[in-house]
Amino acid sequence: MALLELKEITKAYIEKGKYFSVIDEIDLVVKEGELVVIVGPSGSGKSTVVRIAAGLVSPTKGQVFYKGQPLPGPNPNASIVFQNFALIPWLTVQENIELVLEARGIPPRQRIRTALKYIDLVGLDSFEDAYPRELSGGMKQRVGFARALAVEPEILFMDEPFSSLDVLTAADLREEFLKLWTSGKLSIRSVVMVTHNIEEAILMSDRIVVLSARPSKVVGEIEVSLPRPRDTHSKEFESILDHLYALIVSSHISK
Amino acid sequence: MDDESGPYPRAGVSEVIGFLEILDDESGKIDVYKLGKNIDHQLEQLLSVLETARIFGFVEYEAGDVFFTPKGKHFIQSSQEERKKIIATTLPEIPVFRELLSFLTHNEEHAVSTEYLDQLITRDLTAEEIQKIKNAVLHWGRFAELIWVDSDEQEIHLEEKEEEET
Repeated sequence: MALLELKEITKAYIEKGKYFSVIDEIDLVVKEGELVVIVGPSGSGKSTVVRIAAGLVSPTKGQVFYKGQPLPGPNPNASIVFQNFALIPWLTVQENIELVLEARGIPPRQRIRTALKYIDLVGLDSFEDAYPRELSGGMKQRVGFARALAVEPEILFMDEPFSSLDVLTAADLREEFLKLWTSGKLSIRSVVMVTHNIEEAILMSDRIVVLSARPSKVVGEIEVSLPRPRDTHSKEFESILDHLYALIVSSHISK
Repeated sequence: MDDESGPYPRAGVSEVIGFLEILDDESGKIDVYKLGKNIDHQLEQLLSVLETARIFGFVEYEAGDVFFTPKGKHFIQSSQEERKKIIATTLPEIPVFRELLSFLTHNEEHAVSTEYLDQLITRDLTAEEIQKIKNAVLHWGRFAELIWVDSDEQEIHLEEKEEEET
């Protein structure tokens, strides 16, 4: 069943009197239980697609459906992990998480319990009282994950969640997220992630949706059914890599 | 007729030459995904470099493979001086350079503000994209010794080797 559906989504805006079309009639279906990765070059409107899908930005044309119903505004069953963590610097790790719980109307005692549970889950126990400035990039993004997961969403959006991290930290966090996702410990039913990192897309996804450069259209989709954890050196992995690159480069070159 | 001044080079000199060197090491033909691996899957860089090398007529792309054109092969086997000459004859074939060079030649001062380039780049691009193209245009123009740039005044000047301005 489709949890989320984007139908003929177009987004355009006007900058300095010029009309920019960012997204051009994008269709996207996210089924329950699926981890969908959207890839495309920078400026391909990937982040905009995610914001529209989460109901944070309204499309110029087209419609978003959640569980078959039109989405009128921000989706209360969704949360987002951002590339730049978006933590509030004057709040501690725990307070950063409690804040989003408070915003969702959760009472104080339960807020503390839930915040601690998710801090624990992402491996930040004993850093509850730390401020963001005391944390490394990887730890900050762990807080980002804890905060997004703590509201126990049905659908999780991730906008380049590992792009601000060094290669090793990114690999570590990626693996941990996949473990959590496949463990069934999370409330999440589907994940939509955006990345420009092609290897990451194949490592993580059940299905890859490829966007062209702006104004972006869907130029193709690739199912990835390799068992996890995936080996980037395997023949099957290389063959998907080959296919994915060819899709992206062909769509770019023919423009 | 197409009134756009594209396609635009977006990649700089070192990036493109580095890419051509990799291609040369691979005997002139490479799977595009292997190229991607070679540069740590920097998709943005890969696309801009491929596009630029293609605009210059150095490579072709077909069905997942990138390969040299005879011109590209010749370029990478040339000395630095010869490479500059090849670029100097290639740039005037590219619309955005042709217009810039034509303006500089016909203008009495043989100079123009770098902002002039914004007018030449007509497609609906973001400020960031335009800046990238401007940087590439100036970079290649200087490499070919067709122009020089006064960074303080933000002015582009025609390079005049023979005659000194009086």
